[in-house]
Amino acid sequence: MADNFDFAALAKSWQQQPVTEETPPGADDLAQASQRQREQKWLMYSEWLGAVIMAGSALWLLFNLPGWLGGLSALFLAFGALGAAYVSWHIHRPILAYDNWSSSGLVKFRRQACQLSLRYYRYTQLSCVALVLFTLILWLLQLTQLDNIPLVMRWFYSLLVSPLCLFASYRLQLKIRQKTAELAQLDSLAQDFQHAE
Amino acid sequence: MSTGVNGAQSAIDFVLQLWQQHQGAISRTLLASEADPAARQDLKQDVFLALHQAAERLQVAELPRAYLFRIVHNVTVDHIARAQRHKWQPLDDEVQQNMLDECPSEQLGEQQQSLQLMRAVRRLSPANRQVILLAMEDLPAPEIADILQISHGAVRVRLNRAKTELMELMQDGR
Repeated sequence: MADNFDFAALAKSWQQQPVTEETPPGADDLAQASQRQREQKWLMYSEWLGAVIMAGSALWLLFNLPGWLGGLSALFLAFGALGAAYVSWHIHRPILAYDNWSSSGLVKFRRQACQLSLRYYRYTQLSCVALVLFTLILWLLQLTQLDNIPLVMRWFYSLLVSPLCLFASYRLQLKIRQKTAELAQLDSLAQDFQHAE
Repeated sequence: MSTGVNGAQSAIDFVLQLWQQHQGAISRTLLASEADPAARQDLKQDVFLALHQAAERLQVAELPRAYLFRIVHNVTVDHIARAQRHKWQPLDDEVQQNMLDECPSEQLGEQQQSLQLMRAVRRLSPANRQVILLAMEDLPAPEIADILQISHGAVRVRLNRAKTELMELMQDGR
């Protein structure tokens, strides 16, 4: 079928079509592109800072809140810190050298990065839900007289941590939806390139 | 230090020279890959940034043209992957108007054919569009294989499939 096609004539027509010529990029183009790259770097640094804060908080809890409560919270935070650092390293660190990739490899990389982000968002959302549950447990322990939880800690978790966690959980759900749609697109793109190989 | 700065500058000059030599092909590739003018401007910046970053490697590359097109096509694919814009969009008014305005009445048929071709190319699957765009720029199969980093046989197979898809799309568009 394709053999009957006058591809040479089509190619000629393609090359002769008038297009608005892309002017050679100037200093402004480079400045804007560099700005976007800097934003990506700042995003990475802020994620690293978040990971350091989480790791620091985990250590603080371990030494200042002995017992299973402190241990459990520290474990959550430590996993969160590791997850944040890992995702940041894999997704935001690479400033890609496009000449070293095949298109198919590039799509696979983006797909893996998207899957990784999705897992990270789910884990963070789970951590937020766990913190809300943790707050409920604190009140439950106090009400059933099983343990004496300091009032300051209960109010800190009830008035600050839990509302923040609920809000973060809602925002993460939106992100999860967006990433799921993105992943579906990337799956179809990856399939397209795989099929073409 | 000054040798390094001079080297970097000469590499950037080389990139600009290469861009000028192939700006028609670059324009057509960007136009075929992104219908929205603002998004196309972003894409152009991304391409230039990638070229700028690879400037020194590009300067010593055995086939600089192949290297250039590999970067252009990879950045385009990345743009599609990130922006989820690989579904066909109508030609933007500006380009469509320019194409028809600049056209003498006796060439109107040819222009309409060009528009039909552009629409069909945009509706190709991304992998097929990539190979068709390179072939329509008259690049030989071994160079296409080098750009896409696939075998010569794979280029032939992909090009055949792409031509069939393009023909069907053009017939549908009539």
